[in-house]
Amino acid sequence: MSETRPSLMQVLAQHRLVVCVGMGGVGKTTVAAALGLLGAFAGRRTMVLTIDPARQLARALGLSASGLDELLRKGEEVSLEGLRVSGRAPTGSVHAAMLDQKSAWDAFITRHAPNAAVRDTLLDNRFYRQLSTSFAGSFELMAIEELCRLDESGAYDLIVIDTPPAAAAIDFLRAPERIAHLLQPDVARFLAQPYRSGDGGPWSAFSSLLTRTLFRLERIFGSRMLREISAFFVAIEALLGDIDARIERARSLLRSEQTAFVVITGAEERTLSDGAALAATMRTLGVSLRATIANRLHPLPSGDKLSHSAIEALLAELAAQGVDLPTQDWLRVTWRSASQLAQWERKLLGRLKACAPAQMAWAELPELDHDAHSLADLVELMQPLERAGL
Amino acid sequence: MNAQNSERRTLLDVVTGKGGVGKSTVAVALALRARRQGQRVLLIEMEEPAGAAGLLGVRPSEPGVPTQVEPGLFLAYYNGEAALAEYLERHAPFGGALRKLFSHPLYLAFVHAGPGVRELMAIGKVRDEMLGLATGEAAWDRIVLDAGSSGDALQLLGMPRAAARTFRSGIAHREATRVAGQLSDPVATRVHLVALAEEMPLEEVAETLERLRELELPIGKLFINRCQPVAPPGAEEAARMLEAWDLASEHAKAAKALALVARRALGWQRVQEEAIAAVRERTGLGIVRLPALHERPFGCVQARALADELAGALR
Repeated sequence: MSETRPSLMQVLAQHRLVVCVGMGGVGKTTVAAALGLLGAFAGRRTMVLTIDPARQLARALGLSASGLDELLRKGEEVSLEGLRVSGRAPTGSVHAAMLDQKSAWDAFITRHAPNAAVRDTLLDNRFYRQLSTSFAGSFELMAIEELCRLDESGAYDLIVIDTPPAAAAIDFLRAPERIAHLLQPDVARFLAQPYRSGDGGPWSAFSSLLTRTLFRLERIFGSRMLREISAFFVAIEALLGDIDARIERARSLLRSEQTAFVVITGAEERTLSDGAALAATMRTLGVSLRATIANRLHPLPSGDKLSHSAIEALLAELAAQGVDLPTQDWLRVTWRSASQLAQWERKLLGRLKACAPAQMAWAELPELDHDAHSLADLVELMQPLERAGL
Repeated sequence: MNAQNSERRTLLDVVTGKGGVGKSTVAVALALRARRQGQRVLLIEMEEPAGAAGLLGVRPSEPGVPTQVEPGLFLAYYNGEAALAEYLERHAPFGGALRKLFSHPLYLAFVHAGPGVRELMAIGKVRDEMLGLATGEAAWDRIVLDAGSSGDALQLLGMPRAAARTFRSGIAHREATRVAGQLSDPVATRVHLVALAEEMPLEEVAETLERLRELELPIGKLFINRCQPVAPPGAEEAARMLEAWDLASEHAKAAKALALVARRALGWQRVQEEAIAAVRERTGLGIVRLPALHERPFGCVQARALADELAGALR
């Protein structure tokens, strides 16, 4: 065997944090849940954190639908009672949690505000409210913050996190930098200054330019928003030291040896090429990709050896046994599209695999014949993951 | 187009849906279909040239500038930052001081920090294009906007209303109010959803739809992409025959493979029909089925084939 890749199990064993990235629609959430289950079978106390606001993970893990948001936010142990895979019972556990961006930010501010006045000013600030719900990167930053806290809690020895889709996977990595840039003391002081009285500060030399610029921006955006922004920066100044430290911690955690990034990809041109671009960008950002998981591969029925004439002969036999013409046609079309698709997917993946660095684990997951949303489905997906690269 | 025709209304079709369901393909197919009906069409992507550019094999080089795909069909991508710069240049009476403003750290910090400003400007530019404000005449019969994933699209489409509330005064307030009005004009605008016939994506459709309705946006069609052909009545029985095939007999290998394929197709078909029935009942949307195309690579030829399926889907 010339295969020198590590197995996916080795990658899991060597890391405590697994970050799943990939484009939208490739099934990241489901794969993250299957990885979590794999952790439980490997005897680890596992947490699966999803930041996808949809409810897929909960369903994939078979959590009940009632009071779901509440339950997920707190983190809930998934019942694996009675679950056996090839006679084995899980020796570890799986917890699942969903990140709520707004409450994560509010809790963050509450934790770090030096006093109640600063806290309340921030929580009531209009600009803060927008920042905490819709600024690019703010969601991702909170996800990383929660990851850090889960890591620090010591309660889990494997944490799998599911990231938001698409270009946002890169935002995920850039979030610390982006927020750090937004909140850097210079910019913050700069934005805070014009509405503070009696404080010249380092920018006083520019104050006339500032006044003119502000006047112009006010004409466009109205004065109220600018005042809110300024008030935000005045209040946030007291937290900047802490925020900086947390951002630094997030940055180093993402790049630490304990963290493995796993790319989830589909077997389509677009998701594959986007996945490859994502991988390249991630390398330039200094994180290491440890595995690729190709999800939802259509099965190649009986290898690729079966010829069209063999199928035609069978169809003739079926016709002789009374199968009607529309059904024959349907079987023919279904067969043709299934084998075309399966062969094309394998060709594409073969190309991708040939370019994947040898230290990356590689796994392929089949498309199930229905939506994956039960524990049994996850078990079905867990098994090929467990065998991958062995 | 001459000046008299500029009275003609430009129609806007916004396309959105979850990642990976084929939004860009549907947007391209809609644009191609409209073009085939003789309309002048502009297809717009947000932020960067993406799926539509790939399918059409045309890559606009700078933001905001339409590039011709074929006569009467143009592709552009809009990016909020460029749209804001362009907007200011056109509307704000700053003259030569503009360049200084753009490079000013406060301006940059504001554009990067001001949530929604970029979305507002990008969607504002779509409106300008509909009304022909940049050139003085409406150049398009139809604009198809590939608005990205449902989250991005809701942010983009909801921003004018949010901004009208946030900016209580100033030019931004006035503009935001106008853009919001244009988007909720039922004659001009339709927001279409794209989904796959699987349970979870359709659940998201229902949630997105609720949000779109809260924003008072006129809703168009629900495109269900990659639909499997409906199996004939004899399919189930044939699958059972294949599964019970005598493995010692002739054709055993082919029967086993075909049984697998048929069973999977029937399984997905059940998922598909149940999901479509559920979404129809839950949302009451007009549904357009688009067939799964298995030829690969998937490209412009397939998008054109899908355009043929859209005969009844356009206003």
